[in-house]
Amino acid sequence: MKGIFGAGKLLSLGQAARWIATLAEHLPRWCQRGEDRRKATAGCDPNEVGAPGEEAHSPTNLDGLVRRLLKQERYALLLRPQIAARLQPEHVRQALEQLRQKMSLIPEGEVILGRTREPSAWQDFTELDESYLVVGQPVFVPRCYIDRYAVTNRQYQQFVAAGGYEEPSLWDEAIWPAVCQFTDQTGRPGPRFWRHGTFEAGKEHHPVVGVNWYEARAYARWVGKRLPTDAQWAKAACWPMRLPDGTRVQRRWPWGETSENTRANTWHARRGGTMPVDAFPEGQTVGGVFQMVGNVWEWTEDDFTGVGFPQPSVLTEVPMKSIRGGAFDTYFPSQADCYFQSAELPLARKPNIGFRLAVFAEELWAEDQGTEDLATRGSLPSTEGSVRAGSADNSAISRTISRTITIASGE
Amino acid sequence: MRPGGITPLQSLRLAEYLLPVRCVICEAENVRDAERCQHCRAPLTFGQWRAESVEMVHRVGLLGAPGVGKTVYLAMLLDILGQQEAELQLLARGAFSLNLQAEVIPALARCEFPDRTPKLPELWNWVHCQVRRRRDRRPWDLVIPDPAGEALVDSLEHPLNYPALTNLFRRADAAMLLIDAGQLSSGCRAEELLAVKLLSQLAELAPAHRSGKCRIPTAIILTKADQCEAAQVSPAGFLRTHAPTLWYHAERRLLRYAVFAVQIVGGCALRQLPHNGRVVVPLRVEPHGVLEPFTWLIDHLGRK
Repeated sequence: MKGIFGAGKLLSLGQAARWIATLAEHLPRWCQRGEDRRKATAGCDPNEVGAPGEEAHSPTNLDGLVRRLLKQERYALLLRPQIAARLQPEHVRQALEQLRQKMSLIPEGEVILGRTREPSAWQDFTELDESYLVVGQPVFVPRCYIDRYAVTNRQYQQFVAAGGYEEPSLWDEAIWPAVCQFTDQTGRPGPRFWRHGTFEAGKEHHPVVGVNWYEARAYARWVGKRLPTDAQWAKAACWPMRLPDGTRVQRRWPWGETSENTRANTWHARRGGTMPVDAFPEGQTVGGVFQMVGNVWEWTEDDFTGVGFPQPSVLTEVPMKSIRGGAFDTYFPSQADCYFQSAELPLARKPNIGFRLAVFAEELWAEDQGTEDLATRGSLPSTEGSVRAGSADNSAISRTISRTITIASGE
Repeated sequence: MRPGGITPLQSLRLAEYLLPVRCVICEAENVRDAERCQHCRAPLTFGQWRAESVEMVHRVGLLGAPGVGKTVYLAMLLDILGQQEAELQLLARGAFSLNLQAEVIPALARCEFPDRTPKLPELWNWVHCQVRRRRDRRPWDLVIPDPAGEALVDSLEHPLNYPALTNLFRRADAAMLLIDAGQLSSGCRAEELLAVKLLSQLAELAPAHRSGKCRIPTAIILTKADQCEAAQVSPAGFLRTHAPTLWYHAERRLLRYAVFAVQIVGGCALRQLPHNGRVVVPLRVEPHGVLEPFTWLIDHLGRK
């Protein structure tokens, strides 16, 4: 299985050398940042946030570590099979519970990635079928989970406060020299529109914006997830089905076939800015995913290919990333539907682009195996055994988790 | 009906026919049947003006270099103000005035920019609308032509070729001067100097205040602000830094002016055409700052 461990490696010598060179160049600023961060987090609950690599330095308190990871909503890490197999059943149950609450299961199947045909072209067809209305190709999407809500300021602050911007293994190597420029209005690491390392009061449940594609990806690694692919995103939003007669049915908007201003935060909802991620519940998808349309554009893992763009043969001067879903300022409903694809530079930090995350089901501890399986596999001590287990056992598990968190991000 | 009963009616029609229709742009008198002003080629179809009502109409000049975004800005402005129940509303008068929206808005929804406005005045879009504000007792009329940028540039050298523009400069009650923020930020002086020319022409021809400054309110609009975030943060500061000559002229020659930044699209890409060539296409439409310049202008427009 190509899991987080499969591709996760210790930094190679070359990588380490490059990292050290970058470090030497930016060390003074980063030291200042570390100092700022320590000041900013002074007095915080140690279970709330942690310093980078802190997990590795407190191996004896596995329960505390798991609690902290759950509190930081990093349950996907705990549900990696290699880790889940070593945890207490209660911990796995808690992680699974969080997974069910925070993410929606998207069944495997095909989704048509494409663009809607102009209504004027409909008359060419005697029988209107979804495949006539959409120009595109079906793409198979394996079973996966997708966040029910976009990542919020509060969630992202945990990443910032835990030193995510100082942890090289979370970032693409190519972007290392630029990470120190990913600062807020006051020069601290964080999203562009924050000040003094924190978000505007009252916006804790608003989607985090002002983050570029690399920042979104680093956060995804920190919580053990990924940015959704275009196909994953579209499948979660359109909820495609194949009827018994073979007809494909795929929704244009998460709620159906007509645009409605009251179901999504787009320009015509006249809110003029972002809303909390759980607003507009009437616009949720069949799978219970909120705001796939409106509020903020969402970064996806893929490059912009123009597959969901109304104009054919579109070129960008530099490679751009695909963004989907429209935002609070998207003027046309047709540009905020489940098909429409737009593009943005991966380094852009815009006020109307945020993200949500996904994870392939095969990367996680199989939920249907149940937690009972854990004990019978012999790799997991029973609860009683766990209580008796000495710090050496806990230390081994903690080290595994720490390795996962700090190293294994090069998928 | 008496055999002679028809005579007075014919007389009335004849009398009406003899009443001239005055052009709202150049105020020249035209015969009633004319569709366009014989002098400046502005359409006479928008509202069959009674001779005395022409003075009541406000004219706004939309000025800027070719490709600066005049047509897209005006269409988006009309579209936004034509659908919201807000303090300020615009109501198109006659189907003629909706042509601009009908051409531009569907194109933007398809992620296309409209074609360049042709140089011939007959092919320009002329918008005649009614301004409705809660604070005004009655609605009042506004005419905004959307001239081709090339025609504006030409008219600076050959004013007699474009009497509509010369008259617009002379009789405008307010002006919007558009300038491409992306070009300015890349250090393009040509864009700035052309804007200075237009501003200078306006200041020369439009009515002057006793201070010698041009007294019509002028909104300087930095377009394509999506390409230049500094313009969004501080439009006036951006103008002062990146277009010092224009800023200096505005300070010296305009009695009332303000600087605004406008964004219509959220990014652009190129589209390869089936044969040779490429065109710029908008990646998405997300208007910002569209209403502010116009609202400012309306607030500073003297009532007639």
